[in-house]
Amino acid sequence: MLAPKKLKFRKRQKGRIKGMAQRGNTVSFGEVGLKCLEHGKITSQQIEAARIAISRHVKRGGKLWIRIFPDIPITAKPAEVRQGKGKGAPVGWVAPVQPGRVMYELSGVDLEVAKEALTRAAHKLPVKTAIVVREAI
Amino acid sequence: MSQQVELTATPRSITGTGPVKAIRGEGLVPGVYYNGQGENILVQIPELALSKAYEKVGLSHVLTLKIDQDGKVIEKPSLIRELKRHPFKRQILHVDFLGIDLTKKIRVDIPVRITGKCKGVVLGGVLNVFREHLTIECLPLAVPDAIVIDVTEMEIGQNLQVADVKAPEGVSVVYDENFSVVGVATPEAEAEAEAAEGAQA
Repeated sequence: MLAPKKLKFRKRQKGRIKGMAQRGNTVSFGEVGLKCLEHGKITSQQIEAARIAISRHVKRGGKLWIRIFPDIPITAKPAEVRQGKGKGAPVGWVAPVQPGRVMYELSGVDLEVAKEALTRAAHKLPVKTAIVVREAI
Repeated sequence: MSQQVELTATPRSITGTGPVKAIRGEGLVPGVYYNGQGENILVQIPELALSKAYEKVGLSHVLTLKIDQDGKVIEKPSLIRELKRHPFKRQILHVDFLGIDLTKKIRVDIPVRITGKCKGVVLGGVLNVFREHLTIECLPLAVPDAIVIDVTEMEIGQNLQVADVKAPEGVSVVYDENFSVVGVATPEAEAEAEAAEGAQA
Protein backbone atom coordinates (compact mmCIF):
# COMPACT_ATOMS: atom_id res chain seq x y z
CA MET A 1 0.00 0.00 0.00
CA LEU A 2 1.05 3.58 -0.58
CA ALA A 3 2.73 5.36 2.35
CA PRO A 4 5.40 8.05 2.71
CA LYS A 5 8.98 6.78 2.96
CA LYS A 6 9.93 9.17 5.76
CA LEU A 7 8.06 11.62 7.90
CA LYS A 8 8.83 14.69 9.93
CA PHE A 9 6.07 14.38 12.55
CA ARG A 10 4.22 11.15 13.44
CA LYS A 11 0.90 12.77 14.33
CA ARG A 12 -0.89 15.66 12.76
CA GLN A 13 -3.98 17.76 13.50
CA LYS A 14 -7.09 16.82 11.55
CA GLY A 15 -7.79 20.13 9.78
CA ARG A 16 -10.63 20.78 7.31
CA ILE A 17 -10.72 20.23 3.57
CA LYS A 18 -12.16 23.24 1.74
CA GLY A 19 -12.47 24.60 -1.77
CA MET A 20 -12.15 22.91 -5.13
CA ALA A 21 -9.17 21.26 -6.80
CA GLN A 22 -7.40 24.04 -8.68
CA ARG A 23 -4.64 21.67 -9.78
CA GLY A 24 -4.82 18.08 -10.94
CA ASN A 25 -8.37 18.61 -12.22
CA THR A 26 -7.84 17.54 -15.85
CA VAL A 27 -7.05 14.20 -17.46
CA SER A 28 -3.36 14.74 -18.20
CA PHE A 29 -1.73 11.34 -18.74
CA GLY A 30 -4.31 8.76 -19.80
CA GLU A 31 -7.43 8.83 -21.94
CA VAL A 32 -10.09 8.33 -19.27
CA GLY A 33 -10.08 9.42 -15.65
CA LEU A 34 -12.02 9.10 -12.40
CA LYS A 35 -12.80 12.52 -10.97
CA CYS A 36 -13.77 13.23 -7.39
CA LEU A 37 -16.95 15.30 -6.84
CA GLU A 38 -16.84 15.70 -3.06
CA HIS A 39 -14.45 16.58 -0.29
CA GLY A 40 -13.07 13.52 1.42
CA LYS A 41 -10.18 11.53 2.77
CA ILE A 42 -9.16 8.44 0.80
CA THR A 43 -7.23 5.90 2.83
CA SER A 44 -4.29 3.98 1.43
CA GLN A 45 -6.39 0.77 1.70
CA GLN A 46 -9.13 2.33 -0.43
CA ILE A 47 -6.60 3.55 -3.02
CA GLU A 48 -5.15 0.05 -3.23
CA ALA A 49 -8.58 -1.63 -3.41
CA ALA A 50 -9.57 0.63 -6.29
CA ARG A 51 -6.26 -0.05 -8.06
CA ILE A 52 -6.80 -3.81 -7.77
CA ALA A 53 -10.39 -3.46 -9.04
CA ILE A 54 -9.13 -1.62 -12.13
CA SER A 55 -6.19 -3.92 -12.90
CA ARG A 56 -8.32 -7.08 -12.47
CA HIS A 57 -10.95 -5.79 -14.86
CA VAL A 58 -8.47 -4.52 -17.46
CA LYS A 59 -6.43 -7.76 -17.20
CA ARG A 60 -3.60 -7.24 -19.72
CA GLY A 61 -2.55 -4.10 -21.53
CA GLY A 62 -3.44 -0.60 -20.54
CA LYS A 63 -1.60 1.78 -18.27
CA LEU A 64 -2.84 3.16 -14.98
CA TRP A 65 -1.88 6.37 -13.22
CA ILE A 66 -2.76 7.02 -9.57
CA ARG A 67 -2.74 10.78 -9.07
CA ILE A 68 -3.35 10.95 -5.34
CA PHE A 69 -0.94 10.00 -2.59
CA PRO A 70 -1.84 9.29 1.06
CA ASP A 71 0.61 11.49 2.97
CA ILE A 72 -1.52 12.53 5.96
CA PRO A 73 -1.20 10.30 9.07
CA ILE A 74 -4.39 9.25 10.86
CA THR A 75 -4.48 8.30 14.53
CA ALA A 76 -7.02 6.32 16.57
CA LYS A 77 -7.47 5.38 20.18
CA PRO A 78 -7.81 1.68 21.04
CA ALA A 79 -11.26 0.26 21.76
CA GLU A 80 -12.71 0.69 25.28
CA VAL A 81 -10.29 3.42 26.29
CA ARG A 82 -11.47 6.51 28.16
CA GLN A 83 -10.96 9.95 26.67
CA GLY A 84 -7.76 11.82 27.57
CA LYS A 85 -4.27 10.46 28.14
CA GLY A 86 -3.02 11.95 24.91
CA LYS A 87 -3.56 11.48 21.21
CA GLY A 88 -3.99 7.94 19.84
CA ALA A 89 -1.45 5.94 17.89
CA PRO A 90 -1.00 6.33 14.12
CA VAL A 91 -3.13 3.74 12.30
CA GLY A 92 -2.81 4.67 8.64
CA TRP A 93 -2.50 7.24 5.91
CA VAL A 94 -5.02 9.24 3.94
CA ALA A 95 -5.04 11.41 0.84
CA PRO A 96 -7.26 14.50 1.17
CA VAL A 97 -9.27 15.15 -2.00
CA GLN A 98 -11.26 18.13 -3.17
CA PRO A 99 -14.05 18.24 -5.79
CA GLY A 100 -12.51 18.17 -9.26
CA ARG A 101 -9.47 16.08 -8.41
CA VAL A 102 -8.66 13.40 -11.00
CA MET A 103 -7.69 10.39 -8.88
CA TYR A 104 -7.08 7.65 -11.46
CA GLU A 105 -6.26 7.74 -15.15
CA LEU A 106 -6.28 4.89 -17.61
CA SER A 107 -5.07 4.52 -21.19
CA GLY A 108 -4.47 1.79 -23.76
CA VAL A 109 -7.83 0.03 -23.37
CA ASP A 110 -11.23 0.36 -25.04
CA LEU A 111 -13.38 3.17 -23.71
CA GLU A 112 -16.12 0.81 -22.55
CA VAL A 113 -13.63 -1.43 -20.69
CA ALA A 114 -12.02 1.64 -19.10
CA LYS A 115 -15.39 3.01 -17.98
CA GLU A 116 -16.38 -0.32 -16.41
CA ALA A 117 -12.99 -0.61 -14.66
CA LEU A 118 -13.28 2.91 -13.24
CA THR A 119 -16.88 2.26 -12.15
CA ARG A 120 -15.66 -0.77 -10.20
CA ALA A 121 -12.93 1.39 -8.66
CA ALA A 122 -15.49 4.06 -7.73
CA HIS A 123 -17.37 1.49 -5.65
CA LYS A 124 -14.30 1.16 -3.41
CA LEU A 125 -14.08 4.90 -2.69
CA PRO A 126 -15.90 6.94 -0.03
CA VAL A 127 -16.67 9.90 -2.33
CA LYS A 128 -18.98 10.61 -5.26
CA THR A 129 -17.12 10.37 -8.54
CA ALA A 130 -17.52 10.95 -12.26
CA ILE A 131 -15.81 9.38 -15.25
CA VAL A 132 -14.17 11.98 -17.47
CA VAL A 133 -12.66 11.59 -20.92
CA ARG A 134 -9.66 13.56 -22.08
CA GLU A 135 -10.52 16.52 -24.29
CA ALA A 136 -9.15 16.48 -27.83
CA ILE A 137 -6.72 19.26 -28.61
CA MET B 1 -10.82 21.44 -41.35
CA SER B 2 -12.90 21.55 -44.51
CA GLN B 3 -15.27 24.25 -43.33
CA GLN B 4 -14.47 27.54 -41.62
CA VAL B 5 -16.16 27.84 -38.23
CA GLU B 6 -17.70 31.19 -37.29
CA LEU B 7 -18.46 32.45 -33.81
CA THR B 8 -20.28 35.65 -32.91
CA ALA B 9 -19.17 37.62 -29.86
CA THR B 10 -20.27 40.91 -28.37
CA PRO B 11 -17.92 43.38 -26.69
CA ARG B 12 -18.01 43.35 -22.90
CA SER B 13 -17.57 46.32 -20.59
CA ILE B 14 -18.24 44.37 -17.39
CA THR B 15 -15.16 43.21 -15.47
CA GLY B 16 -14.48 41.86 -12.00
CA THR B 17 -15.40 38.63 -10.23
CA GLY B 18 -18.96 39.48 -9.11
CA PRO B 19 -20.29 41.10 -12.31
CA VAL B 20 -18.65 38.42 -14.47
CA LYS B 21 -20.39 35.74 -12.36
CA ALA B 22 -23.69 37.42 -13.25
CA ILE B 23 -22.79 37.15 -16.96
CA ARG B 24 -22.18 33.42 -16.54
CA GLY B 25 -25.60 33.11 -14.91
CA GLU B 26 -27.14 34.40 -18.16
CA GLY B 27 -25.49 31.59 -20.16
CA LEU B 28 -22.65 33.74 -21.48
CA VAL B 29 -18.94 33.11 -21.25
CA PRO B 30 -16.56 36.02 -20.59
CA GLY B 31 -13.53 36.04 -22.83
CA VAL B 32 -10.80 38.12 -24.33
CA TYR B 33 -9.47 38.60 -27.83
CA TYR B 34 -5.87 39.67 -28.29
CA ASN B 35 -3.23 39.58 -30.99
CA GLY B 36 0.45 40.24 -31.55
CA GLN B 37 -0.15 43.89 -32.45
CA GLY B 38 -1.35 44.73 -28.93
CA GLU B 39 -5.06 44.79 -29.76
CA ASN B 40 -7.13 43.72 -26.77
CA ILE B 41 -10.94 43.37 -26.77
CA LEU B 42 -13.05 42.01 -23.90
CA VAL B 43 -15.88 39.87 -25.29
CA GLN B 44 -18.75 37.66 -24.20
CA ILE B 45 -20.04 34.62 -26.11
CA PRO B 46 -23.08 32.33 -25.66
CA GLU B 47 -21.80 29.17 -23.95
CA LEU B 48 -23.61 26.71 -26.24
CA ALA B 49 -22.23 28.28 -29.42
CA LEU B 50 -18.75 28.37 -27.94
CA SER B 51 -18.77 24.73 -26.84
CA LYS B 52 -20.02 23.62 -30.29
CA ALA B 53 -17.30 25.66 -32.00
CA TYR B 54 -14.66 24.29 -29.59
CA GLU B 55 -15.71 20.71 -30.38
CA LYS B 56 -15.01 21.42 -34.05
CA VAL B 57 -11.83 23.49 -33.91
CA GLY B 58 -10.19 22.53 -30.63
CA LEU B 59 -7.03 24.46 -29.86
CA SER B 60 -5.38 23.96 -33.23
CA HIS B 61 -7.79 25.10 -35.96
CA VAL B 62 -8.72 28.61 -36.98
CA LEU B 63 -12.17 30.07 -36.41
CA THR B 64 -13.57 33.42 -37.50
CA LEU B 65 -14.54 35.51 -34.52
CA LYS B 66 -17.21 38.04 -35.46
CA ILE B 67 -17.23 40.91 -33.01
CA ASP B 68 -20.25 43.18 -33.20
CA GLN B 69 -18.86 46.67 -32.44
CA ASP B 70 -21.19 49.71 -32.70
CA GLY B 71 -23.38 47.99 -35.27
CA LYS B 72 -20.34 47.10 -37.35
CA VAL B 73 -19.22 43.46 -37.49
CA ILE B 74 -15.46 42.95 -37.46
CA GLU B 75 -14.12 39.53 -38.49
CA LYS B 76 -11.03 38.31 -36.67
CA PRO B 77 -9.39 35.02 -37.63
CA SER B 78 -8.33 33.47 -34.32
CA LEU B 79 -7.26 30.39 -32.46
CA ILE B 80 -8.74 29.36 -29.13
CA ARG B 81 -5.64 29.86 -27.01
CA GLU B 82 -7.04 28.76 -23.66
CA LEU B 83 -10.37 27.50 -22.40
CA LYS B 84 -10.85 27.48 -18.66
CA ARG B 85 -13.43 25.09 -17.25
CA HIS B 86 -15.01 24.68 -13.82
CA PRO B 87 -13.04 22.09 -11.78
CA PHE B 88 -15.81 19.49 -11.93
CA LYS B 89 -18.80 20.88 -13.85
CA ARG B 90 -18.68 21.04 -17.64
CA GLN B 91 -19.21 24.82 -17.52
CA ILE B 92 -16.76 27.00 -19.44
CA LEU B 93 -15.54 29.83 -17.22
CA HIS B 94 -13.37 31.86 -19.58
CA VAL B 95 -11.91 31.77 -23.06
CA ASP B 96 -8.89 33.39 -24.70
CA PHE B 97 -8.81 34.05 -28.44
CA LEU B 98 -5.47 34.67 -30.11
CA GLY B 99 -5.75 36.75 -33.24
CA ILE B 100 -3.58 35.44 -36.07
CA ASP B 101 -2.37 36.55 -39.47
CA LEU B 102 -3.57 34.06 -42.08
CA THR B 103 -0.45 34.67 -44.18
CA LYS B 104 2.02 33.79 -41.41
CA LYS B 105 2.91 30.30 -40.23
CA ILE B 106 1.75 29.16 -36.78
CA ARG B 107 2.84 26.38 -34.44
CA VAL B 108 0.16 24.09 -33.02
CA ASP B 109 -0.06 20.62 -31.47
CA ILE B 110 -2.10 18.03 -33.37
CA PRO B 111 -2.82 14.37 -32.59
CA VAL B 112 -1.05 11.36 -34.12
CA ARG B 113 -3.34 8.85 -35.86
CA ILE B 114 -2.11 5.29 -36.53
CA THR B 115 -3.38 3.37 -39.55
CA GLY B 116 -2.74 -0.08 -41.00
CA LYS B 117 -2.13 -3.53 -39.57
CA CYS B 118 1.49 -3.70 -38.48
CA LYS B 119 3.64 -6.61 -39.76
CA GLY B 120 5.40 -6.87 -36.41
CA VAL B 121 2.10 -7.11 -34.51
CA VAL B 122 0.97 -9.98 -36.78
CA LEU B 123 4.19 -11.79 -35.76
CA GLY B 124 3.44 -11.27 -32.05
CA GLY B 125 5.06 -7.89 -31.35
CA VAL B 126 3.46 -5.06 -29.39
CA LEU B 127 2.80 -1.67 -30.98
CA ASN B 128 3.72 1.23 -28.70
CA VAL B 129 2.72 4.81 -29.46
CA PHE B 130 5.20 7.00 -27.57
CA ARG B 131 3.81 10.39 -28.62
CA GLU B 132 0.10 11.13 -28.83
CA HIS B 133 0.68 14.63 -30.21
CA LEU B 134 3.22 16.37 -32.41
CA THR B 135 3.98 20.06 -32.85
CA ILE B 136 3.65 21.25 -36.42
CA GLU B 137 4.32 24.50 -38.24
CA CYS B 138 2.18 25.58 -41.18
CA LEU B 139 -0.17 28.25 -42.49
CA PRO B 140 -3.27 28.64 -40.29
CA LEU B 141 -5.73 27.36 -42.88
CA ALA B 142 -3.58 24.34 -43.76
CA VAL B 143 -3.57 22.74 -40.30
CA PRO B 144 -4.45 19.03 -40.78
CA ASP B 145 -6.81 17.21 -38.39
CA ALA B 146 -4.05 14.74 -37.48
CA ILE B 147 -0.66 13.41 -38.54
CA VAL B 148 -1.43 10.04 -40.08
CA ILE B 149 1.25 7.36 -39.63
CA ASP B 150 0.98 4.15 -41.61
CA VAL B 151 2.57 1.33 -39.59
CA THR B 152 1.89 -1.49 -42.09
CA GLU B 153 5.58 -2.01 -42.96
CA MET B 154 6.92 -1.84 -39.39
CA GLU B 155 8.55 -4.97 -38.06
CA ILE B 156 9.49 -6.14 -34.56
CA GLY B 157 12.21 -3.99 -33.01
CA GLN B 158 11.67 -1.14 -35.45
CA ASN B 159 11.02 2.43 -34.29
CA LEU B 160 9.75 5.40 -36.28
CA GLN B 161 11.66 8.59 -35.44
CA VAL B 162 10.03 12.00 -35.64
CA ALA B 163 12.42 12.99 -38.45
CA ASP B 164 10.97 10.16 -40.58
CA VAL B 165 7.34 11.17 -40.06
CA LYS B 166 5.75 12.16 -43.35
CA ALA B 167 3.73 15.34 -42.90
CA PRO B 168 1.27 16.65 -45.50
CA GLU B 169 2.51 19.20 -48.04
CA GLY B 170 3.15 22.62 -46.53
CA VAL B 171 3.31 21.20 -43.03
CA SER B 172 6.55 20.62 -41.11
CA VAL B 173 6.94 18.78 -37.83
CA VAL B 174 8.84 20.80 -35.22
CA TYR B 175 11.22 19.05 -32.79
CA ASP B 176 14.50 19.57 -30.93
CA GLU B 177 15.50 15.95 -30.37
CA ASN B 178 14.87 13.18 -32.87
CA PHE B 179 12.60 11.14 -30.55
CA SER B 180 10.65 7.97 -31.37
CA VAL B 181 6.98 8.43 -32.16
CA VAL B 182 5.90 4.82 -32.53
CA GLY B 183 7.66 1.47 -32.16
CA VAL B 184 7.08 -2.26 -32.21
CA ALA B 185 8.46 -4.01 -29.11
CA THR B 186 9.31 -7.69 -28.89
CA PRO B 187 6.81 -9.73 -26.85
CA GLU B 188 9.63 -10.68 -24.40
CA ALA B 189 10.52 -7.03 -23.74
CA GLU B 190 6.88 -6.24 -23.11
CA ALA B 191 6.49 -9.24 -20.75
CA GLU B 192 9.63 -8.17 -18.82
CA ALA B 193 8.28 -4.62 -18.47
CA GLU B 194 4.97 -6.01 -17.18
CA ALA B 195 6.76 -8.32 -14.71
CA ALA B 196 8.77 -5.36 -13.40
CA GLU B 197 5.55 -3.38 -12.93
CA GLY B 198 3.95 -6.34 -11.13
CA ALA B 199 6.95 -6.63 -8.79
CA GLN B 200 6.67 -2.92 -7.95
CA ALA B 201 2.97 -3.30 -7.11
